[in-house]
Amino acid sequence: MDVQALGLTLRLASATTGVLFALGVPLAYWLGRSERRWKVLVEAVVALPLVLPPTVLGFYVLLAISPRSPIGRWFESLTGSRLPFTFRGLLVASVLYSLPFAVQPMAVAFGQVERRMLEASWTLGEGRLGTFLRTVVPLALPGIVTGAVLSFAHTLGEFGVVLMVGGNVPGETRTISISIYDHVQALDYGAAGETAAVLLAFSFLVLAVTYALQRRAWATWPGR
Amino acid sequence: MAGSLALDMERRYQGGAVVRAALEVPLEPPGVTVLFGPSGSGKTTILRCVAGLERPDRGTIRFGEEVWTDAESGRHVPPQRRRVGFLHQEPALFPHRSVRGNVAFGLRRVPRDERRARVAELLERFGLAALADRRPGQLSGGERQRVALARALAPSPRLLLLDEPLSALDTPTREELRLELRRHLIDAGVPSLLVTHDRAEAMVLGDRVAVVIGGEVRQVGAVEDVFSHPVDAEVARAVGVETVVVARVRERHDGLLVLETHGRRLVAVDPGLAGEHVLACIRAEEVVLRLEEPVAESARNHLAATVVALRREGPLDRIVLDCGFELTAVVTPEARRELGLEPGRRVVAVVKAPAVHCVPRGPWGLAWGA
Repeated sequence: MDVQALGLTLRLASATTGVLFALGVPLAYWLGRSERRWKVLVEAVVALPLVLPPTVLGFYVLLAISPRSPIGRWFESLTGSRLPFTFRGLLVASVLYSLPFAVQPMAVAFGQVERRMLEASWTLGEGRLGTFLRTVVPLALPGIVTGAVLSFAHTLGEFGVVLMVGGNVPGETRTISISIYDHVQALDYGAAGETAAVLLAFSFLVLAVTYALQRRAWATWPGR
Repeated sequence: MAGSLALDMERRYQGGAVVRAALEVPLEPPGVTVLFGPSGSGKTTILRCVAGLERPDRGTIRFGEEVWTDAESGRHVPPQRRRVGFLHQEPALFPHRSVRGNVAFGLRRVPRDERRARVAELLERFGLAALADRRPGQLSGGERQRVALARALAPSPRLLLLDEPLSALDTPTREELRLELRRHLIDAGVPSLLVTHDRAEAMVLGDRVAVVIGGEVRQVGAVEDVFSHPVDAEVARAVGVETVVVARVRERHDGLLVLETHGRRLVAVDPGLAGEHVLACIRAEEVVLRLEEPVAESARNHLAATVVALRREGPLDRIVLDCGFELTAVVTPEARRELGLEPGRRVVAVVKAPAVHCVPRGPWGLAWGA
């Protein structure tokens, strides 16, 4: 089994989840509660990675971060390094690829927080930030946790985007799914099977724990 | 100067509905003002504008010296800074907090010891001490509304706003909680604005009534005035034709009350009220008119009266009588002709004791029903 690839994959999934948490919570809150009409356009953009083939997404990301594009040049002048075929480039692609998995459950959860809960908090003297932290987040917590877990699990298994943007650099961009592909190409079914089984078990475990936590959370908060 | 809550506002909705309110609510003494009217008449909108949860499209809302909303200048004090308590129709308790946590919610800036003492005192006062660690999902409807009221009162609001606070409850609980709510509102000593479409609720809970019909405040006054002297036919339809007078309890015996009002004696069935004053309510349909004093009769109240005015109301005639206080009766046109009912005609108004409905009422500072 490719332990290096497994470690790298876990690192990538954690970093992706962290970034998505920071970006996704505000974005999801806005999507869940805004009443602006052009919100649908943002929703569509966020959902794009669900329907686009990973190769298409990866292709555009690769173009965007290449040293010839403005973004790539800007990043190079800022940090002195390039994004394609590096861990950081892979992180950018992963964040985009898993964006809907993080944002959609969170936005649904935020949208379901009843307006009168917010109003009750406001009339009790709590400001907007306090209301968000003390009332909205606890009420939307199952959705927020689901979003975080799904983006983690989804990043674990991504393949096409990694191949397009990251290539196959051991220790830098060779993730577990690439490693499995390599093993199969080399007809090493034993190693491929071992790694695949670890990925399967881990994904199942993460999802089972999430659903169990959600059930408990809702069971203690009945009455809508 | 004690000051008042003064509204002069208009709120327009997409689709053409308009709610207008011109209303002044005195803040001293801290009574209960009821916004009364049929469903969809705009009562809740007015309440939400006062809370700052909605913005009027035109006009102003003032609280004492403070300007809370001024549509012209765009001034809008957010709900957080108005220091009002707000009760939703369905109690909006935070499901992830215990009863104690809900009541303590608005006391975040209060030092911890003081906060604990205040919460304990409120839980005690509302009979919630034994439920302090429960979640809202484990409470009955009545308990939830008590928690919501305790929570709203915890940060010592300057004004309490209640949107049909009892309507989400089943009928027996609602009737039980009505008197209790009135007692809590009086004890709290906070001026209150309460929305309801229920006449009984308006009479039990209110000191003053503002009748809202079709998005407009049509009449404002003391409960007894508005319910016995509606300004026009539409208000009369909304409040029902009824005589309401303040009466003093003279005697209490065998489940009956002997009342005195305007020098006249009234016998009523005692609904179990403590206190010295009541509102005696007599529906116009339950007043029988005759020409002379009967020799013997089961009805206990015979009031010598003079016809003051007549008004046609649908198939019936509404007769306004003077019998020391103003009493309203409705009769058929045929009965009116037979009795020769014209202004100045002397008659006897007959009312059975159970037809005199008593609602508790106390002057300020006078405890009752507790």
